[in-house]
Parts: sequence; structure tokens; C-alpha cells
Amino acid sequence: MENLIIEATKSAPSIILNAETRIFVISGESYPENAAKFYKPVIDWINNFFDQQSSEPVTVNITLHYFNSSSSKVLMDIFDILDTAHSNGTPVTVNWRHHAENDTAFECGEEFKEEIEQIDFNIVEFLDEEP
Amino acid sequence: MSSPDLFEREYETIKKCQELLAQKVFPDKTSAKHYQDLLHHYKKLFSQLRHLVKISDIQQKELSHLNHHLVQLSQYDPLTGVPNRRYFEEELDREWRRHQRLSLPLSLIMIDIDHFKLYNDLYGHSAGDDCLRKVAQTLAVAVNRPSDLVARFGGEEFICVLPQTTYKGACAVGQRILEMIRLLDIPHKDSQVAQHVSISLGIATLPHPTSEHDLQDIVGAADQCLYLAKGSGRNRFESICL
Repeated sequence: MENLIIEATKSAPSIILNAETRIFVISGESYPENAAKFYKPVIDWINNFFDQQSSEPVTVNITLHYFNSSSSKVLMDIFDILDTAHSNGTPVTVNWRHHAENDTAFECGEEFKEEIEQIDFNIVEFLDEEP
Repeated sequence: MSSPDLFEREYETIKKCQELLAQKVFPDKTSAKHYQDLLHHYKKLFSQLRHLVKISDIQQKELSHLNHHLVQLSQYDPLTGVPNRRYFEEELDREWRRHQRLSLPLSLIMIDIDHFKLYNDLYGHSAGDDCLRKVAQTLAVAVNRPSDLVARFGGEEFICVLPQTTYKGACAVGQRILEMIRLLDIPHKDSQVAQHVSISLGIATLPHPTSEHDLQDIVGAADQCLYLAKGSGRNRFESICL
């Protein structure tokens, strides 16, 4: 299965979905004009990925400094897919990464965490300007 | 009594669905199962909605906070904490038009710290900054009506607009400012005027502004008076009623 790589723009995050390492990375800012359209290939790719028969663990690293409400909705839907995959036997860990000074990103992470049923959802603080 | 819930209608819908299931209104097990699944789905989407609304609230609070912060940054002088020149000019323009329309007396005071360069040279820039802060805060206290406004005009210059203030009133404020700065008693050994930091003031009043007048008339007059005060020994005010 081919990896999915989408380069970041001013209003859309960088997306790297690696089928080999089973590490997914979403980072940057997310307020695309049409969030459903922007994330459709991402959701399709993730659905296809979990259709392959493998139960090796998957790690998802998300670092979003700012995102709009439509992006929040898409993230909820992605977490739903991950939750289902986890229930079906593929362990999934989500690392919600936020800068130590970004209280808003932290609080939003807590809301997402509450919505999740199965997967391990870690809220991870970082200090320097690492991506 | 419990406080009203934002999602009362959604909870009510779930409750009704559960009641229907409990009353076994469905003729067979398959329909009941379908209904149960739909209810489960509804609950899931409803939970999403609640969290999305919360996330949106968190972000909007942050944006409003940032917006407030940006307004502060654009209106206030970071060193002294008093309004900056940009904000002052907007306010002055507004006041000017109002006073012109209603022909109300308007006064302006231009203020300059005497021998501030010598102060900086002797005590250093950090002490100079402290001095600017103290003078600014004192001016803000001295000019105490809610509509009065003191702003940092630039460097060691401050400006003050006194709406609906007569010539006599403006001179009284000028005298009070001079006195309060004197009482601050910030030592200034190199000042050729006094033992402490002093200021010079230029006061101008336009008792009856009309459409014939220009805002620059009063600004220029206050500036001219400040120049006179500095030329005639500093630590004083000069004034004019236009």
C-alpha cells in the first residue's frame, strides 16, 4: 500500500500516513476552505489501510496549533474509525501533541479524549519549536 | 432546581426512544434491534456534537482573548502603560469633531520632560525608562476626569486632551501637573532647572470651536506654548486662549 503524503499549506496541515511504519502524522494548522473535501483522501486511505489484514499497532501523532470547527468534526470521524479498528484488534495510540504554552490545544485535546472509547489517547506536551 | 441544559431537546429525544424500547412497541425483534442501533448511533453523534460545541467555545474564547490583547497592543504604549500616539490621535479626532459640532471649549496640554537626555546620560537608560513610567503614571493620575486622556506622544513627550475644559480649568490642571511632578521628587543632578526631574508644559484652549477652525490650530498653539515654556527657563507652563 502506498503512503499518503500531503504537503502543508498556510491553511492545511502536513499529512504523512506511512503504511510501512504504521505511523500517521498530522501537523500544522487546519482551516481548509472545505474540510470534508481536504480530508476525504485521508479518510479513504485510513479506511483502506484498516481493510488490510494486519493487527500490528498503529501510532497517530497529531500536532495542530490551530484548527477550525469543520476540522474538529473530521478529527472526530477519524477517531471513530481508529476506535473501531482498535475494537477489531489493531492497537491504536494517538498522541495529541501541544506546545506547553498552548492551553487551548491542551483543552481541546481533553475534549477529544473524552469522546474516545477504545484507543489510547495521550496528551503530550512539548517545549521547544519541534514540529 | 437543576440549571437548564443546552442540549435538553436531545436528551429528551433519547429518553423518549428508551421509553419506546422499554414499552416493547416494536412488533418483532429485528425492528427493535434496528431501532436500538439507530439510537446508539444517535447517541454517538450527539456526544460528538457536545464535544464539538465545547471545542468551538474553547477556541472562540482564545480568539476573543487574542483580539483583546491585540487591541491593547495597538492602543497602549508598552513602556509607560498610557495610551499611545495612534490611539490619542483617534480620540482627539473624535473629540474635535464633537466639540466643533457643539461649540464646546477644548483644551490641550503638551508636556516635555526637562533635560531628559542629560538624565539618561547620567543615570542610564534603564533609570530613564523608570522615570518615563513614573511621570506617565503621575500624569494619568493628575488628569483625573474620565473623559481626560493622557498619551505618550513620543520620546519624553506626552500630550493630554481635556474635553469640555475652559482656559481657566486647563491652567489649573497644568499647575496641578507641575506640582505633582515636583512632589515625585525624582533626583536629577544634571538638570539645570531643579534638583529633581521637572517638566515644561504648553497649554492651549479653544473656547468656541467652529467649522472655521482646524484641529491643527489648537495642536500648533499648544506646541508653540511648550516651545515658549522651554525657552523661558523650563519647569513651568505657558498658555494661550485662542
